[in-house]
Parts: sequence; structure tokens; C-alpha cells
Amino acid sequence: MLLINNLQMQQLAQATDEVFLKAVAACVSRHWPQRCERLGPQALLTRLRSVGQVALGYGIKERPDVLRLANMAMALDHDLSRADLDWVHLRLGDTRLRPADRLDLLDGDVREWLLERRARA
Amino acid sequence: MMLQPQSFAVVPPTEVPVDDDPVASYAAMDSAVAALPASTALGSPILPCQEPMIEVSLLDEDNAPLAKVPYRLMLEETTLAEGTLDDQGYASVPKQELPAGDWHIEVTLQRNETTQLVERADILLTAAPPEDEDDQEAEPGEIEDAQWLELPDDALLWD
Repeated sequence: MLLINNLQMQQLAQATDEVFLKAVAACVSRHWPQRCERLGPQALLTRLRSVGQVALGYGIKERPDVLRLANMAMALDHDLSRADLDWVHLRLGDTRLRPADRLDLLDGDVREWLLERRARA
Repeated sequence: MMLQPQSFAVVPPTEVPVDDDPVASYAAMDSAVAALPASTALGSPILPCQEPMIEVSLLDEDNAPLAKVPYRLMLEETTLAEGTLDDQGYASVPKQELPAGDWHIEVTLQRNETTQLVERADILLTAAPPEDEDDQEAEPGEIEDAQWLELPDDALLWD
């Protein structure tokens, strides 16, 4: 009988998270090719790791939700780590709501922000 | 009149760095992510068994959850589930899935006549009719087809 102890489970989890990080990078590169090229592979992974940390800090654990947050980070061209994006952190920190619902609302905010920027350009 | 020779400085064109279209790129990746199946959470090496379910989250106009509100979920004229939303205005109905296609969602809040407090949320799902291609509106950033306006014959006459 094969037994897997807690430490081994943690190591397996880290390995799958690294694989997921690379999958996120590949997905982001498909939809944001110019920005990824400008960042370069290392800076892109650094940004995505930062996004992952922000996500975990707000209890966002589901992988599709992390992908959504990565998309928002690319749209804002920001790693989301600093507090200068008050409106983003305010929405992410609304603990009355489930993480997915917070992201739904933040999605609306980001779309509005993008359209306003386009209108000003 | 004698023209003085003029010298011109050749200025190289300013290279504007190419950027992605943020509106289009964001929408495209969001659609791609929405099409992904639910997956495991970060920090877990185990893939869950995929089971169909319908999830409901209800928020009020101030984006506050309708916490602990009784709900009734209906599919056309059939009641799929009844229960109470949790503290975050959420409920899941396991082992239920909708046929593929577009669906209208109509939420009706039954309020107490005296206190106006929400006593029940009725959620009605109805199949949306297929879209007519001629009725499709342009996505943000797209340019709709130009239409020529017919001007009267004297429109361009000046007084």
C-alpha cells in the first residue's frame, strides 16, 4: 500500500503550482504577446508570481480565478503588489463576498477602466 | 526675388512601441478562461472529480450579498431547488446542469410589505432564443458598418 505523508503532499503541491505558473505564462503570452515580449520571460514570471501571492493573500485559490487575476494584471500592466491600485485592492479585500464574486465585480471595474483609457487616448 | 537656400534636418521618425490592444486582449483572455473547466485550487496536488452543479450568488444594488435569504431556483416552470443563501449570498445546487445555449436569468425579490426586507429571492432561468445575426451589435472597439445618409438635393446650396 502506498502512503503519502503530509510533507510529500506539500512537495507535490509545490510542483503542480510551478507547472501551473508556467501554464499561466503560456496563456498570458497568447493573449498579450507584445506586453510579454516587452517584459521578457523572467520579468513575466516575476509578475505572475507576484499576482499569485496577491491572490493567495486575498484567499483566491481557484486556478481559473488566479488566471482571471493574471489577465487583470496584464490589462493594468501592473503586478498588483503595491497599494497604489487602491480600487483593485478594495475590491479584492471585500470579504463579504466569495472570491469569484469579487473578481466578477473587479472585472467590471477593469473593463470600465480600459474603455475610459481608450476614450482618453 | 532671390530664394535663399534652406537646409533641412532629417529627423528619424519616432518609433512608437507596438502594444497589444488592451480591450481586445483582455476580453479574449477572459473568454478563454471562462471556457476552462473548474480545476484544483493552488496548493493542492489532487484533481477533483468534475461534477455538474449550478451556483448562485446574489448581491444587492450596493454589491452587498443577500445573506441568509431564502431562495427558489426555477428552470422554466420547474422548481429545481429551494433553500437559503449563505452569509455570502451563495448557494450551490449539485448534480444539476443546464443544456448548452444562452439563458436568461430573472431575479425577483419578494419583500415584506411592511418592513421591505427581502423574504425570498426567486431565480427564474429561461432559455434565450437564438440570436439573429443581423441584430448583433458591435463589440467595444469595433467599428459598425457605415451608413450613407440621403441628403435632400438642395442640402449643399449656399445662400
